[in-house]
Amino acid sequence: MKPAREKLPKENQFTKLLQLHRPALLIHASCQLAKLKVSTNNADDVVQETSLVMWKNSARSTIPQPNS
Amino acid sequence: MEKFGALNNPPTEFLKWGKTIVSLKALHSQRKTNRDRLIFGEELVQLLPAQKQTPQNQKLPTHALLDILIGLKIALPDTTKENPQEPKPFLKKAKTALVQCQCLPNLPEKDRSLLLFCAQRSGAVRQLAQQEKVSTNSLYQRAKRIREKLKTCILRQMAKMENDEDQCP
Repeated sequence: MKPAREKLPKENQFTKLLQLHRPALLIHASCQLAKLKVSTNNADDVVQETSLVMWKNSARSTIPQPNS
Repeated sequence: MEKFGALNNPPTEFLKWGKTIVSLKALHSQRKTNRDRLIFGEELVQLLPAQKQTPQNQKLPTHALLDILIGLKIALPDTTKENPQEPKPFLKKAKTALVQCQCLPNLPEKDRSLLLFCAQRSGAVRQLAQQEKVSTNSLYQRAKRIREKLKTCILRQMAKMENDEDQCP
């Protein structure tokens, strides 16, 4: 079994910041959806997708790609 | 779009960065929602068993009624989207106006059948267009005009209804 990869400092920082700001992002998502006059029920999905985009952008900038 | 690594001061800039992405994703979500015309929401599904079978609406099945109501829900942003959390009372009232009041019963049989075709699986309207030797687009345009007529009727009936009553005036 492969040993668990140790998290890079920036990954750690990213995770902590995301955890910390998730409620604020959720509120922001609800406000934005309400402003756009659509149901706020999927605010959680919007935040989830946002986290994914942020994570991808974060990961690309911190973890060296194999061919780079 | 910025990257995490590009942020000068991640603890302070993280939220701003996140909010920008949230706004974009919310917009994306709105576009996606607007593209899906036929969304059978929970509130609508709950209305299904409550449908009263009157002679006037027997020929128009529930899914066709729902199709009309869904179309109207989208066409009435001021009434429904202001308060997206509570569409049920509005839909209930609209359904009463549509089915029990003058709106649907007064609709000509031909118009009612067209709405029924529109609510069926894709391809049904195309077949009808071939039968009637008209373009599919013209049928959809006609259906749109019928929906508009129904919408006006429903709004008129709803305005006549008492505030909390779902009874025909």
